[in-house]
Amino acid sequence: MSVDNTRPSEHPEIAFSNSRSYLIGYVVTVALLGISLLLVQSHAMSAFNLMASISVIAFLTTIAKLYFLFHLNFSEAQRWNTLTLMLNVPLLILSIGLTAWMFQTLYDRVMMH
Amino acid sequence: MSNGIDWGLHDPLPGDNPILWAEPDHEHDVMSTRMLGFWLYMLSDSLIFAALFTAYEVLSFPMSFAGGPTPRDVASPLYGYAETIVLFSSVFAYGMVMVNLKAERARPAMLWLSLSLVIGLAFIGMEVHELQGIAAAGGAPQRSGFLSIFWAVVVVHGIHLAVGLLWMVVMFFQIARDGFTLLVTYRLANLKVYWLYQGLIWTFVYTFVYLRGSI
Repeated sequence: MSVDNTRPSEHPEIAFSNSRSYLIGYVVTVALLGISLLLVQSHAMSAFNLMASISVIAFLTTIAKLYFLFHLNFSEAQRWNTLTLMLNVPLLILSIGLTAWMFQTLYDRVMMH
Repeated sequence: MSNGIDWGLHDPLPGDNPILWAEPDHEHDVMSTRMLGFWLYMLSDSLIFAALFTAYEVLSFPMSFAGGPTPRDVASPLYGYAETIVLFSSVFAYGMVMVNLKAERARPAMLWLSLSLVIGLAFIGMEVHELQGIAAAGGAPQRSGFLSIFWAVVVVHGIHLAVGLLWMVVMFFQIARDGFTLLVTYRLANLKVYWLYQGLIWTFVYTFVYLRGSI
């Protein structure tokens, strides 16, 4: 790819910055976590449903941040960032999920609670 | 490409006179190379937090409280939400640094950078105040396994923020000294990724430590 290193501010990874998307990202993420806070403070549902709801809201907040703040997409400038993040997600799920599962069943079997 | 996504996996189809190499000399894309490298570092950093969240999950079973404070006692959702607003405001202010960098306006960029720095300092101040209160109420990290990992999650995130703030101070002087050169520009862009990323991690700290503790 040809590039002009003398004009860094015109680089595609700078050019996608705009105040509108940063403002939208700010308002949306603060609002989403505000909904989580209200749900938890009002004990609006059962513990399991609350846990599921705030997990979904955390996921939506993540998507909003990746889209409006990180500007991740499949354009030529960003596609490798997007792809490496997608490949990183299974590592996070496996490392947290498998350990949590392992200890959950361990605690159940030894009846420590 | 029919679906609009060009993954760069296929060579262009040859025509009658295929061009096998680019004739003109061209430069390496310094910024893209360094930013991809930094992005890969940030992804590996996410595995540090994955390990901490895993340990938090394992150590938040009741017997890990050792009769001491529980998640409900140490993490206030309301105070955590105030911290959320403060940290996300700092992230927004840093976004405005990038907008002014794009327009090559050095003074507004330095102003927003200072604002992001001050709001970030306020967040750390709130966190120190919170942790001092917890320690004073008998929630020191050595009290129980749960408290050890609670402190570890919050403090490791706080240390990341402190490093980011130090980086902001350095960039403030580099903008003043050099203006928006290639090196200063990619460092500011990497700091943007770093700072936004700390905001992203906070989403999980707030949801799975502060909110979950009160369920």
